[in-house]
Amino acid sequence: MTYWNFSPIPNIEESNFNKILERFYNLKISGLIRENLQNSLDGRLLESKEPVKVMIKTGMIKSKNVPGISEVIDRIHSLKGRNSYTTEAINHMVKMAEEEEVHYISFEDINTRGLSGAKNGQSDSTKDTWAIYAYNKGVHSEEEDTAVETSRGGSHGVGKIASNAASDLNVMYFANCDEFGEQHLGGTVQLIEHEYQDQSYRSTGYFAKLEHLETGRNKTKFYPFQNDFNEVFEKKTRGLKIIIPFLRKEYSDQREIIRSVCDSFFISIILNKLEVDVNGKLINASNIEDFVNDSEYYTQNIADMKAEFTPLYVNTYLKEEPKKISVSDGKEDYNFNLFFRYDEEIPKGRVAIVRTIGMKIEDKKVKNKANQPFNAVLIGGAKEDAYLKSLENESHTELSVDHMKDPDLQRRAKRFINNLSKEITIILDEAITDQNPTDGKMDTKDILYVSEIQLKKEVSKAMGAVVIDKKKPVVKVQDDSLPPNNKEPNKGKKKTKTPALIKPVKRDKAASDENDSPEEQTLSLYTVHPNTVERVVVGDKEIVRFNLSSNKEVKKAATCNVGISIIDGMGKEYKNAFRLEDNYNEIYDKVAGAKCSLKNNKINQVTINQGIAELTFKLKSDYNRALKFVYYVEV
Amino acid sequence: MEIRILEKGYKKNPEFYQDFLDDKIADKEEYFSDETVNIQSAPEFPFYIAKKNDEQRKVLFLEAFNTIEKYYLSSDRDLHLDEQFWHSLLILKKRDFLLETYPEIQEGIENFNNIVVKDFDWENYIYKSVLAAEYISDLVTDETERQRYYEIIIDNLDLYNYMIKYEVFRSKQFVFNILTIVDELGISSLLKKKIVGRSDLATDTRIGRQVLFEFNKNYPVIMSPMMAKEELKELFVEYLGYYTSVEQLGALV
Repeated sequence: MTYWNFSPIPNIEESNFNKILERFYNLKISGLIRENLQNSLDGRLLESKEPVKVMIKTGMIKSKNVPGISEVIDRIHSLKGRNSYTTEAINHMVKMAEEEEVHYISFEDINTRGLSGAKNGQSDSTKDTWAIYAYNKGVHSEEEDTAVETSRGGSHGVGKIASNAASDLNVMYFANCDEFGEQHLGGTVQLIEHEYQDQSYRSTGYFAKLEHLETGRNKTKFYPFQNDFNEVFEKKTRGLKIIIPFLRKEYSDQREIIRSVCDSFFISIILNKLEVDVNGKLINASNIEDFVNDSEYYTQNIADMKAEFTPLYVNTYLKEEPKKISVSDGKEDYNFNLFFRYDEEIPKGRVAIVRTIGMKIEDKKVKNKANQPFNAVLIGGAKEDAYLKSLENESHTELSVDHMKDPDLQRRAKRFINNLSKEITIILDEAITDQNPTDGKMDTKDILYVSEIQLKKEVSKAMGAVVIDKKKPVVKVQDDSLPPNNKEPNKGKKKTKTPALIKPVKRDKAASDENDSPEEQTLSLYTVHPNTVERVVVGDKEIVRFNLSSNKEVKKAATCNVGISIIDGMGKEYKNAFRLEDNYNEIYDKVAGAKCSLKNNKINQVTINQGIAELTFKLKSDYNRALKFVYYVEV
Repeated sequence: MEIRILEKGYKKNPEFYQDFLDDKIADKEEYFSDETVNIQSAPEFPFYIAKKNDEQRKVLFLEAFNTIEKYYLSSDRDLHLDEQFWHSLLILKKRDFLLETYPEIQEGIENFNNIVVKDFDWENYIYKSVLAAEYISDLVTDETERQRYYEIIIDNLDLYNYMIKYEVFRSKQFVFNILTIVDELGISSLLKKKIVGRSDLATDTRIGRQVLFEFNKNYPVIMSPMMAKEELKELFVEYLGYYTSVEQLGALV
């Protein structure tokens, strides 16, 4: 009878072991525990309130009692290493295969659904979870209920391989008992592509019956064996049991198993979603503290907690009130509960990132804060869970962006991870400020002295410009009314021109000047800088004196016409809004000693003597003395 | 809520408009600056209020004032008076609301420019509302009184617009004083009247605006924004007298 089936292939293409084996092998016990416990949590009975219970058992078994193992060993003997690494691995397998009695570990879950549809064998129906679990690697069956789907631990579908990696022969079995009490046994072995009895085969072997379909001679289908094997392989209550024979030696360390359970699943256990029995030692909600506070498992001195933080996490989670934080990836906001504890004794600051199912993903270091004295646990809701799940690496041990293919998603994920650090930093900074009051409670004499010196330095540096906000500097404006000599010299920069005090301007054809007569149109128009005008209002008189000598053209002229525009509070000019005849009774040209005539709202023929012109206005009673003017001269 | 701040240059950009319609803005890195802003919550309010009758307009403005007062004023002033912040918020977080409330946005980029990425100045409804909420809530603590002042603003929008248009008048005390004076004198509708028969003034001159223009012309010789209300009221009536008969008002002053 054939127990193990490998798919025949035309020729060997790949001569290495599956890379994921190596990855899980490096994760050791914790990787194995995480994968199997997480699968059990995913398989919980949805209608049951009872916690999922997982019985972990280690022990010895006679190798002849491992079902069909001689076939696997035969295959192992046919493997050919094509590089030093595979050769070494194969030699190790060959050596281990000779043992008569071998270690095993088994994970049996209770209050779980087990796999369904085993009797359908290899099936395409998504409801036949047996077929998916047993015969397809790298896919996991999606739950019909999306809420359950997002809370699931697994998602990369490589979990089973963690079990293969724990075996010296890369072999694992799974015993299933479904809701109808049907008991089956399946298994997989991860070898390399090999030639066996003149035929090439794939690397993966399945513990299954191969049946030819009647419809086509070459079509075959796997069916599982009814489970009547050795008691180690028995699963008589509903659920799944993983059995790993030829367990690598370092995997049977019971203390390490218990620690791994607590490290990764302390939240599930505290929330009473999970109970784990390790060779008769039960870890559940009521006694997990006894384990984490036991120096047999964890160092109890806070100052020494530099690599393992579980006792801190458990304490933080149980004692602290959660704070709500919101973390964005630039498009969506994700809300988490953060259990945060600040304690000067804590040597390394870490945040346990935990999925709602209760599994810790990562001891996250916050950027630049890895050595700060705090400890925190971060848990989100369903939406956050789904997002975290997309960020996990295949081994569920880190939030990472490296496995993301879509550059946009990758960018958002980076952003999310950065923002997460930022948010936690804010809370940490608050805690530090709270714990370290800056004034009022300490002797600040020295600090005041230092500050004073510092202040002087800062002030001398800051002269000239004051910055209120990084965006909006308040710049000291140079006063252009000062003579040019008094201004700061511009070293090597472009020279500031002295503003022309009398500036020629264009006539505004569109506006009021259109009324000007043709002869006026030929005249040049100049604005007069306020610095060259002296103006005084006394009683019902206003005296205005112009010094026009700075402009040669104007200085040469004997007379000029003067126009007046008003300026509003914003410095905006209103031409012709000021009507001379409405505001003045009389305008007197002091140099000429004569009354001036008005024409087109301008004062006509004002005498200029050596660049000086002076006007006296007699004001009307309702004259607005608060107005501000711009003067124009026409020559 | 985190809001990424848009990089300048998005305004009047047909491609940006198209990406907004296609909901692709958030996916395009080139539209964003390095800045982000975090705010507690940013509920919707009428971001654009135009072409409505007086009653509808009042309801919408009140909603805007009250929402801003409640949810936005607590932020840094630099933030709630920042154009890029508001545009980023509208574009990134309020797209659905905008498309539903102002379906005309989809008709053309002009409407988009006018409703969504409108310049943040006195013509912008968010700007108007932020200043109104800020000024009034700073100066009026009583809730009923505050609502009353909000209504005075809405009843005198023409005057209010003119005040916030000019920096010299954009002072909460001045705006508040002028509104109080207008309310005390009960001259809201008088101030809205067009001035006729004054060829020297620009077209569409209204009494209220012209009175404010007098204040403007006299600034800074007369520091009207710093005056106490009673002082200001005397001047107000004087300037009002340039444009309309104030004898009846005189009895009230």
